Amino acid sequence: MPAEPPAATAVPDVLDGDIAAFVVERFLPGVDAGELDPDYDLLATAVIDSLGILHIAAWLEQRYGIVLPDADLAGRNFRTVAAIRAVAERAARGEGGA
Amino acid sequence: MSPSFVEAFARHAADRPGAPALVWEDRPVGYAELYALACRARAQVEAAVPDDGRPVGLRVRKSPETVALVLGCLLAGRSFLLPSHELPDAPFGELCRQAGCSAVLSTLPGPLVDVVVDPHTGPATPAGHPGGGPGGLPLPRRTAEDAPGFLLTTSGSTGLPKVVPLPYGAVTRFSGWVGETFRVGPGTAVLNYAPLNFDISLLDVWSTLACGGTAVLVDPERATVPRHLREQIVRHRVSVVQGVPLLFRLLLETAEQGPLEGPEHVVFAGDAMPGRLLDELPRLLPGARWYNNYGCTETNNSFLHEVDRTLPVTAPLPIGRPLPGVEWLITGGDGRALHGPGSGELLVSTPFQTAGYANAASGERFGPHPDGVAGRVYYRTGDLATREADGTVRLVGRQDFLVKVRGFQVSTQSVEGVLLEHPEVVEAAVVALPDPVAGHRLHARIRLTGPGAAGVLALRQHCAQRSARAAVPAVIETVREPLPRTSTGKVDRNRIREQLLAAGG
Repeated sequence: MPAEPPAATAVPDVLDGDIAAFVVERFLPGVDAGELDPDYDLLATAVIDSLGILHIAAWLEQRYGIVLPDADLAGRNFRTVAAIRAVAERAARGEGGA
Repeated sequence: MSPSFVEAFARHAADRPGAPALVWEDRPVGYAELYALACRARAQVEAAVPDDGRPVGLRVRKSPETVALVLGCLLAGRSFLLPSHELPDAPFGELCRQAGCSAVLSTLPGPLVDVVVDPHTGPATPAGHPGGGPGGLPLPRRTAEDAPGFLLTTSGSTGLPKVVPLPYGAVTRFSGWVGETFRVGPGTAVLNYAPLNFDISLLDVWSTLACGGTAVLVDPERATVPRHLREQIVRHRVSVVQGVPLLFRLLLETAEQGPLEGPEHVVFAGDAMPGRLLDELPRLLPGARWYNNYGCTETNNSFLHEVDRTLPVTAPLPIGRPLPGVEWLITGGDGRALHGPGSGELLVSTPFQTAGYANAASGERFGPHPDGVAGRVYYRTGDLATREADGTVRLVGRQDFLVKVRGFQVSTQSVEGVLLEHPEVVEAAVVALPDPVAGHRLHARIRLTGPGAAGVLALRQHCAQRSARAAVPAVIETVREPLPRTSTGKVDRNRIREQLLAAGG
């Protein structure tokens, strides 16, 4: 069962390391999370596809209670670990949909 | 009627009885000696298995005696099934049944063997046979050009192989082309690396004997020992080397002993030569002419490309030009012939081809020209080819290797090619596994030059820089042990696929 999302007022601290650990565990078995550079292109290298984007969005909700608006579920926001952190932080601050 | 390839062999036995026909374990077998062995084998075949029009099955490993048994069948004008000796009892028996074999013959007793033929004993001229041939021995029986002789098998890796009957005339025409193209004649030694049942032995062994050359037989037991292979080439002054990429990879391991100066013609056969191998080959075979050979069991060779060594050599090599008498076309998506540049399935019609399978329906594979040009039967090769603007024809891959990944058509072979371009990748196999969402997902299994020589992330980037996203494997698995290979030396993708499916994908 997903954890109860934290209160909306708290802006969670989204970490690159957390995201990298999830991406590696889910999509790159056998790779050390430390090897995954925050700017590594996950889309071009087919690590994640559109289904993968949904998996990551679900995980962001479960892990941080961050719900991404549909408009943010676009490839450009999931291209790298850094991009995923950025879109999550924007959504957490209520600036989603950019 | 011009002499058949069997009659040509008999003529060499008459004209140059002492010339070496075979070399086996460093010992030459002269033409007259081999002809006598073949006549004894023929006499025993004819005595034990009367000719009722049905083929005999041969269960043989390569040796001078088994070459003599095949020649004995040919002298008798018989047809004979020649499957891999590695085929287990059950499929071997089933194959013989499907081909309608009347008996199974070998030079040694064994399972399923009905008749043991010993070419070293018995009369070479049985009562009732007129002599008149080499050394007073019988002449070959005359055969119709369209009468089947060799019944070879396809290398079908799933299920039973298909039986491919090759008419006597087809092999005669082929041996003529071999003699002209590679200048095979008296004094020419040709390496025979492949097992006898392989179609490429039609060049190495049977065409060589028809041309009066010397077939240097590599013992399959020692076929993976680089030093042994090199010794055979050097010691027996081999001038024509034909083989699968594995042969050249093995020979390269001896390159520190210096280049091989003897071979004049080097023929790549059976599989695409990887770029890495081509890059390294000049230091082993600097002086030879290199050819890329394209053919299949059903049609024998249809294209030949001579590599221009003055230009940079890049993989994949073109398949080059059609052999004399070969007609070909590439079909587009609508099944009609493409004119001008484009890609599609390659269809060929050769003077060397079978009339159809003996144990399977031929209608799917053999048929008339798709645009209705009458008169010839074309074989659908299942190979995808591209004709470039300058007329160069290249193979893109097997149609069987085409899969759809998220709606995109991907050739698993071309993905392997991309992986093999990475300097740290030694071997690569890419298989498509069923995927409920994507249709297929690609699983790559690779072996690197050393553990950790390249990371999965770097390899993914390598692929992404060179191919569409759908062609980047979903999983890149690195292993330390060599990839499994088939008896022909090709990476055994089916085995890998089965392992992955058994492990739950």
